Amino acid sequence: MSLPPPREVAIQVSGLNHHFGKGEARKQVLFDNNLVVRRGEIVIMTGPSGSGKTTLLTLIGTLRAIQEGSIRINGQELAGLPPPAQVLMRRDIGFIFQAHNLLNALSARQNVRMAVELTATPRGDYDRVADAMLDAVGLSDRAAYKPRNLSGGQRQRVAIARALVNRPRLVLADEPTAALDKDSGANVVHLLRELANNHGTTVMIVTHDSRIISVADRIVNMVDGQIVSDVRIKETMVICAILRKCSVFKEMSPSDLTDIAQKMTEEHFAENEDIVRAGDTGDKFYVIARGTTNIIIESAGTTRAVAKLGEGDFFGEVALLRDQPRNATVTCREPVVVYSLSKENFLAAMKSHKTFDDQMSNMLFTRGG
Amino acid sequence: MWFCRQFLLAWRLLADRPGRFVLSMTGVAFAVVIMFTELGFLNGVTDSSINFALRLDGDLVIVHPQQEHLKSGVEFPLFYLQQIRDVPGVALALPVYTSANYWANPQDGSRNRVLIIGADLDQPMLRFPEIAAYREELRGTDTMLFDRRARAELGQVAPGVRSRLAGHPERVVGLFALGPNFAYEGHVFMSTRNFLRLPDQRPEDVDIGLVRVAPGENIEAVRQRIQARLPTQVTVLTAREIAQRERDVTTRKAPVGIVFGLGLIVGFAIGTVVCYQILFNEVSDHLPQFAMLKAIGHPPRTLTALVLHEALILSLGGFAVGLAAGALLYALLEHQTALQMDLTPPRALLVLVLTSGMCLLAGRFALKKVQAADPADLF
Repeated sequence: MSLPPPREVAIQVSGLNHHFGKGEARKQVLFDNNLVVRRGEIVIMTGPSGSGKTTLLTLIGTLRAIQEGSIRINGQELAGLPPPAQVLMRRDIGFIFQAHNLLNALSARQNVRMAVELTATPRGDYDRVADAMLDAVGLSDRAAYKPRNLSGGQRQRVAIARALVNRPRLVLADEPTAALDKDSGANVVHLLRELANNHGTTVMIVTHDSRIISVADRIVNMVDGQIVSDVRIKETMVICAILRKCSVFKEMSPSDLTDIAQKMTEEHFAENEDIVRAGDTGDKFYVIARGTTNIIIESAGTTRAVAKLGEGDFFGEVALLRDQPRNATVTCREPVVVYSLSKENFLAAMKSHKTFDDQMSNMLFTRGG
Repeated sequence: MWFCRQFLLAWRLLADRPGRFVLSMTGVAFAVVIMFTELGFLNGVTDSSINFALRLDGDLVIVHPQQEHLKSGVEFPLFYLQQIRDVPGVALALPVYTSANYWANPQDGSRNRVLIIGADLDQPMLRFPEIAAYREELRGTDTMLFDRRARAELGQVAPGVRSRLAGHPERVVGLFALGPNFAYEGHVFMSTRNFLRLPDQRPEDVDIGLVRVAPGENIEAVRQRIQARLPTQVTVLTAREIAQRERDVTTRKAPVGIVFGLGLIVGFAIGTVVCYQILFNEVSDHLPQFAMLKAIGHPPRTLTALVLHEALILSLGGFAVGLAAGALLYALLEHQTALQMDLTPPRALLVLVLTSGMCLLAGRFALKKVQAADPADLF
């Protein structure tokens, strides 16, 4: 059980600060935010209102000028981008607003066409493309209706059709399902998931709708203008499943496990590669996610494999706890995937989890160093 | 194609609320009618003011240098004309006498100001075909032609009617057509002999001298020769210049011209404000939608074109309604004031240009609001 190799970076936010107002009234709303979103990921942003998630979304959507820091969308730096380039940039972004903002004078089809007209689609195909998208959101029989003759949910679906019709590389949505019933909401979420999977569309959703969370790859939580947590759901679940197999983590609550899992990094090693070498300074704790390794100890000029470690096994803790160099070499018998935890995080986790500490002491005792 | 699409979109936005659209067009039409009315009066005044000048049938017109316009009554001595006759190239130099006085309404005796025109019957040098038709009748003592287009206050006047002009008994032998202007309610015509029979008229005091240039002579050269002969005593104008002078006096110097000219500007200003209000509301109502169009990547020119097209549609619709109302009003005013109110195509075109101008100007102001539409506010 492991993750597919990471896709290319779609959104890279680094050192992002933002202020509103001028002079005395100037107030910082975003504080040193960093975020990397990869292609095809669905990221849900949560946080109390006023936490800056909407501001972050508008900055990523090129709707606001960047003041400090940097945002790169598909490699393109947004800071200092001239307005005409911003306009072009936005054509590749699908916006789903909380208010649908449809043109009342136009039918559902014509509203969707307003987006199609921005592409190189031949003029004769506008209606066909618009209708196909309306069909995808379940409104094929309402194409000729004006917004005033549609229900709130239907209007929202027209707006979603307009946002998605050009298959944008990035979709930014603000409470997209708030006005929708359970089925319509599920339909929309399914559509977003499909776009993400089949077309590599990156989706960022600001929402409080817990029903959507199931499709998300990540949940980013913001408080007071800062990203306080960035949970890679799928990855975290994979790591948690592995950690749960480890004897030391067995007793831990899911939330504690999640905390640790989030701090772990995936690392890949080739066959016969050494993960740690005897004599090196210990700086990481490892859990094996896939593959098997040999533990090799050198004594009196001979090397011998003292043990074989496999999936769910862990190693490297002794050096961290005792502040000693590695006492053995760990070599891969085959390609190996491990999750590593830095010394700092490992020791912090030890301190905060009493049971973990006990278990570890026990373990050390039995292993005898 | 792009242009058509914006036009169609603008039309759909406006037509989406027909009630409001009609109201908006009425607002614009109101301004159009104001402009038509002011322009009508302005033209009515100028057209009427030059109505007599246009009938002067001479290559050159001789007037006193201090005469500002044909109604100011500044005269020059008759012997100047005799001197002008000796200038090489001059074929003919004849006086036309004019005098403002009162005509007694034959029905109720009320007195109204008319301009009395006196000229030679055989060579009147005036473009009144009626003079030739009534020449024999006009040779009779105290006979005159009456202006058929004079104001109704002057009474029902037909050939054979007798009344008093400047207190002097006169007999109307026929009618001619000229029409009133802002100075006079109408005109009358008579022979020089009969003119000089009126009280206080002397043959030496000439109002207008008309010169016919000999065939083959250059008019400008003759004018210079006359001016050289009498450099300070007279002003020599061409027929075109005298008409232009009359027009200028009315439109620029006389209060009426200024009033109606200002009225035209006021109409334009009112129209601009009305149109701005309409467009401003239109834009305000659609602001989130416009912001959304910006957000999804429509360039600013899309919105600019949209608003200006809306302005254009309003101006065209408003103009159509205003034109119909204006035509009706002209007919009514012409009937009421006897002023010439001609709705000629160039004048309609002028109002159309003004209307489009005011709507586009208003649109230009309303664009400021559109530019303020911030897509970042949508989230």
